[in-house]
Amino acid sequence: MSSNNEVPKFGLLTASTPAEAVSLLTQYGDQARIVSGGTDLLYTMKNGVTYKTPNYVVDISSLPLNYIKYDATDGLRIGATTPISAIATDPNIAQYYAVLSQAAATVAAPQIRNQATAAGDIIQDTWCWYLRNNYPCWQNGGNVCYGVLGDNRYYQSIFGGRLTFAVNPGDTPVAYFALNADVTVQGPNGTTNMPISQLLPGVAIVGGKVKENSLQHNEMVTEIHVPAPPANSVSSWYKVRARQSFDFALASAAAVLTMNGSTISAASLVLGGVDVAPHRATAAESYLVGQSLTTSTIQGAAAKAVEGATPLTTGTGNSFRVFLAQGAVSKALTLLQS
Amino acid sequence: MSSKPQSSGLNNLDPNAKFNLVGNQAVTRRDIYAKVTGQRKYTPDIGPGDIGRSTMWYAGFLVAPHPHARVTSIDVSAAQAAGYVTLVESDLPVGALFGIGARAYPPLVSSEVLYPGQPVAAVAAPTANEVVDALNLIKVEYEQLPYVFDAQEALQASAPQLWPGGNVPGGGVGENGAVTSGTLTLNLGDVDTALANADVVYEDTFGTSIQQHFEIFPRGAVAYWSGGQLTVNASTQFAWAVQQQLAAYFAIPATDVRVSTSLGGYEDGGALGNGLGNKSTGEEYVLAAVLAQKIGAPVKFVHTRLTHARTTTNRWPLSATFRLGAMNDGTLVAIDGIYTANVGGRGGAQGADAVGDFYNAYNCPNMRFYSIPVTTDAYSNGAAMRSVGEEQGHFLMESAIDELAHKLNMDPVQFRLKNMRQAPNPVEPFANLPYTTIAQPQALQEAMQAFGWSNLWKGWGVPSSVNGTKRVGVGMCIQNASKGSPFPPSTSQVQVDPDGTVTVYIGLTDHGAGGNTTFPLIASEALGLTSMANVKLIQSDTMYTTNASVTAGSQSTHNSHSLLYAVEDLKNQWFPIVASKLNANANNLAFGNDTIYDTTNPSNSISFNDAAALLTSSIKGFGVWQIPFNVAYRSTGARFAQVEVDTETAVVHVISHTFALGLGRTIFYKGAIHQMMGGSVMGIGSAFFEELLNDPSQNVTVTPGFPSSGSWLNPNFHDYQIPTIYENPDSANVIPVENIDPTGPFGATGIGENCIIAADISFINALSNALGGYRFHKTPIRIEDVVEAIQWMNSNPNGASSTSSSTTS
Amino acid sequence: MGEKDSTAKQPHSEESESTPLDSKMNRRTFLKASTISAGVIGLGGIALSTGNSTTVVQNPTENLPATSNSDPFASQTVTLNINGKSYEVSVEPRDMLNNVLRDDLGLIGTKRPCNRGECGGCTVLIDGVAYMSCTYPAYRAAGHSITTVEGYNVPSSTESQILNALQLAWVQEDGGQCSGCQPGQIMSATALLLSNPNPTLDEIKAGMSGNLCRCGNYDGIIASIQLAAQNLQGGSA
Repeated sequence: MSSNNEVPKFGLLTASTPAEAVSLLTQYGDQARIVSGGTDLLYTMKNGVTYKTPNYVVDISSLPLNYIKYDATDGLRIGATTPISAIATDPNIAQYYAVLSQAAATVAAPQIRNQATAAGDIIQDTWCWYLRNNYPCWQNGGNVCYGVLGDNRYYQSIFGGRLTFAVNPGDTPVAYFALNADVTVQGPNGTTNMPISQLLPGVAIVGGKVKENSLQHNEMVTEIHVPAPPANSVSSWYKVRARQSFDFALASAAAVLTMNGSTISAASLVLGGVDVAPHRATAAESYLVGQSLTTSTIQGAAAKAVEGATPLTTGTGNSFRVFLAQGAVSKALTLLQS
Repeated sequence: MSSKPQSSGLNNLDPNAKFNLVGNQAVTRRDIYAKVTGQRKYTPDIGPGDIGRSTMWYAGFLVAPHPHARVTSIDVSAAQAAGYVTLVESDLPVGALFGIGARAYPPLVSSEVLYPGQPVAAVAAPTANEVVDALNLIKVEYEQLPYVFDAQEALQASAPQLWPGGNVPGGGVGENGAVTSGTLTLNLGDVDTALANADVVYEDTFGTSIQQHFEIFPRGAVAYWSGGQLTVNASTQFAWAVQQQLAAYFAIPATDVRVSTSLGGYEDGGALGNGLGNKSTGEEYVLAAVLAQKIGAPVKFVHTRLTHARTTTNRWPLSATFRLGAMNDGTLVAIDGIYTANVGGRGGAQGADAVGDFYNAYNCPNMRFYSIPVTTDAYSNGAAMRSVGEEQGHFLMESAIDELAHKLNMDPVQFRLKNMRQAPNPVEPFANLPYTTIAQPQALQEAMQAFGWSNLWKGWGVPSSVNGTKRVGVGMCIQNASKGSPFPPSTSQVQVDPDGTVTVYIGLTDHGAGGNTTFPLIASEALGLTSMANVKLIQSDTMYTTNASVTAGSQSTHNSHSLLYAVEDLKNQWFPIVASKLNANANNLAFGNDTIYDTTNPSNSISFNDAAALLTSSIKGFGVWQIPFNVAYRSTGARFAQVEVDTETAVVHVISHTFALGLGRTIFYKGAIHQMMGGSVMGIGSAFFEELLNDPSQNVTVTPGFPSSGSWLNPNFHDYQIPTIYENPDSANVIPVENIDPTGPFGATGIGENCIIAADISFINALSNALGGYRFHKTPIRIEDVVEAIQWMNSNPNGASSTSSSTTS
Repeated sequence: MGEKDSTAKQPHSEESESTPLDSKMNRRTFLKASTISAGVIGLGGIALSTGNSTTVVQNPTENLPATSNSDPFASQTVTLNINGKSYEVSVEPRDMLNNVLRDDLGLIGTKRPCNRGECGGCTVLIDGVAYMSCTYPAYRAAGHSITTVEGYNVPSSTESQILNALQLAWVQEDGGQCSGCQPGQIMSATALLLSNPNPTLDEIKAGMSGNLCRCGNYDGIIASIQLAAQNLQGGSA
């Protein structure tokens, strides 16, 4: 553990194509990690998190992956290295994918949003204090989840976990889940496409390591694709945090509703910051279909959204985030109440 | 040449006096342009070229990631083999200890670690990057020991004993938890009888958490040697204390040690980037000097966020159990308080100031206080943080008083008006010292009016407004805090050159409070100048200035009173020369509006610059001022706040606050106003965010090389949350109350600490009002605590009495 | 304990006393030192290079080609365009822009309050966009236009004009107390006014929400930005 804030020595590898980046990852194996914006990896390295600090860094920031493309039929395509701020300010995203635009606007702080990237917000490490401070937890070479035993108020799941209970910290992944996005992953044998829920399964054991995403060490996300929004759909985002900037979600909600007049014909509702991956609130989705948005149905959906929550009772406990998750759902749906 | 006049005729105490610069709203902060254009160098900015060298080494601490452990081995050989310079305890002089009395400790320990983050080694490397390489090459092994974080647990006989003689600094605990020594006991009247006869007795316990200054720039120093002489450019609030510390450590004369704030020694030199009480002395000032000596090059030793948060000082957690007695008409008849201060691994006896605040703030015939300091493994060193325990003490006091008013169902303002200490003739009750001044009841009345309390207050537990999920409550509190204690004499000098240039020499610094403007302003006003354009400031450098005491304790404005005596001395040298030019009696001359004039014939005058031109060489006036010992220096004020809470998200926002504070006289107007506003923002942090945390997990098997259970969790700016611009109140109304203090320059007193004191409880009392009268018992009130309050309110729609006990006899 | 010198010397003496240990600095340090001594920046804070010329610093012992991936740990020489001037500096992969600005080029107006991307005190503009220099790799800044708080008098630069208007407004409205965070605040404000010359209060808060002020001087900061925006709008532009 370093008590210093400087970055340990690392070897810099640069690539001009995703295939070349993947080939470098293959060549250097576990020794190398990808850096795109760097706000997460460099921070982790300054903290000296033992099992997350690479000896080599493959810098992909100069790859031609900084783009946002919108097509009414194909939908939205966002390159992996596109800054979060670009997502937050893109007019097409604001118009057709309000939930994503709003989620991006609540990430961290303005300077971070300028540097942090689309793919990075999805695959960043958890903000669990134990990992960030290099405690020897499951994700850091150990065999215990300190979060379960210790201070689990802010960054541990209220919907259970397996080995690790640390929540996925991102905001935009919650919106991507709600929008049924899929991602393109470049591997040694070319590209594959998978739903974002497959990329973020919650807990994955990859190459013997406990992780929160399913990427092999020599795979990288190159693009996020969001299908064209259904006709007559509306969407919204609400993030509950103690401090209104520079803070992760204690609970967030992304809602996408397809309306038939004032009746909801389809609902997609995903909670963030409360589970090891963005948490689809299926019971609340079913409940909403066929209803219209009233104070009563909003409260009903909020209650349904946290059905089955199993907040931790060990350590500090974190049941208050059930309340906050309910609040986030209520706020997000209220924003859609015309 | 030096003179020490008994009184200065220059100290204009007329409440209605007209000044050129004092209180002038157009006066801007003198050093701000240099700072915001990047020209002013703070200590971390000093490079080798600034001190005439070509190289500089960088240093850092290796700290223990365990709450309580024995160091079994330290291996620095690999770091040394790589060319880095290392220090461990055995490299330092035996007996060179830091800290207070029984809790003195070496700056690096190789035996027992008493808190998470205690330094065990220091390294230096030729570049900042390589410091991390050097640290990573040091191998330390530890044996875990049982640890205790909670003060009450640490008082139990079964608790780990952290120091020889037990966990109470300077004392021990006897049977039934009765503290035998190391405590403060104050007793007035007959508390037990008064409680027995009271109509209402209210008993409750409140507590605060570990907080940290998180100055924007961490503490640090640049040290270098020239032969046997040592220079340390330090971010320090007290250059003379550092000088003494270094001289003692190296056993050299103090004259061989120069300490300056930042670069010091030149105009407006001092720049700290916050002090907040954390930058008086420090281990790294000494270790930088040791390393510089060893290396033969300057060494810059600036804390990282982690080491700053965990190894410098902290605001100590203070708890108190009160029994308060009152009559049905609202008369406070008894106060019984037991305070427990968790002073950390190496803090000394603390607690008196918080007790003093209670017996000063309220006028009550029967009062009894105990104060118990307790050593724990929770953190490093309980010490000053923008007050010495008073910020915590006001939360405890004004929580209990507010709740007592609630029990009496009495308007909280009326309760304070009835019971608080106020004019006329306020006296500190224990030592029986008269106040130099008091702003009450004026401050409370003005603030109440400006806030519009009578329209907003709807009763206990009844919010001012409810709009959907948003509830708005109002609350208030008073404050009565020490503004400095009688320190040794403060000294300063004022020089006039023949070209009219004025130079102010004062050994105080500016950690953000505005001293770089206030000090020259006071001298300039005394000199009758209408502008500070030709006034230079040389400050806080042991080579160029003299000891003016520590820049702390809200006393710098007070201590700069010596400037008036310096101008008096200057006048005595200068006016005879001017008098012969004007054909006047020197005793009749006075400064005024950039002239020196004959008070018997004001048209007989000479411009300041022409008068200076009469001088053949520069003249310097010497000022000495000793704060009187036989009076009480108190800062008094009142706060009102309007706070909104969203009952779905538990997010709290301060909508507005009104803050009236007695400051004697406003000297540097913009600075005073902004300090009052900014300190209140810091109070939002204390109320709702700030807490330095340790891991509460227990007994996880230790993995060598990694932190263990009980180590730190949030020693950084992201996770130790301070307010952002979004937490800033929508509106702030600050009211300076000019209650002239005859001992202050132009009647002024300092305000630094008093800008945060009681801010948190004003917001918390307002939040309580928004949430049905729910009484919060600790700070900070984190979002989970607000959720608990909302859930309580939802299940107690009539705002039934909270968990605290209350009896009616 | 140093040997006592019999001749009275001021502690602030400029005498250098290199010992074998200090002279045993590694190669990288030597490179960095040579960068400074070649006169890119006078350490008193005065820029010696002028205009848009490039100050080329030759390493007398070896040239380090910036070829990719040959030695991933090697330092490389990069050209940084800062406040309208060009600097060539040798950077390690791990060098953040903040280290290079402050330790190598003496541009200490860019502060380092946390060095962890958590406070905004080190904010600089890169191609007009605000970044925290403490977590921005120096090698990545090569070829881009960097503006620091010292860049207030760059001819025909809109950024520079906005920057100085803000700095002057900071004086009038008392935008800073200890002012340690203020260079970073002002760079964020510059980015804000570049993209939005007349921001609302909410837009100011959004734009400034990445900069912490421990003195809590947010009201002064807001007033300063409003004054600068007003002055720029009513100005000659």
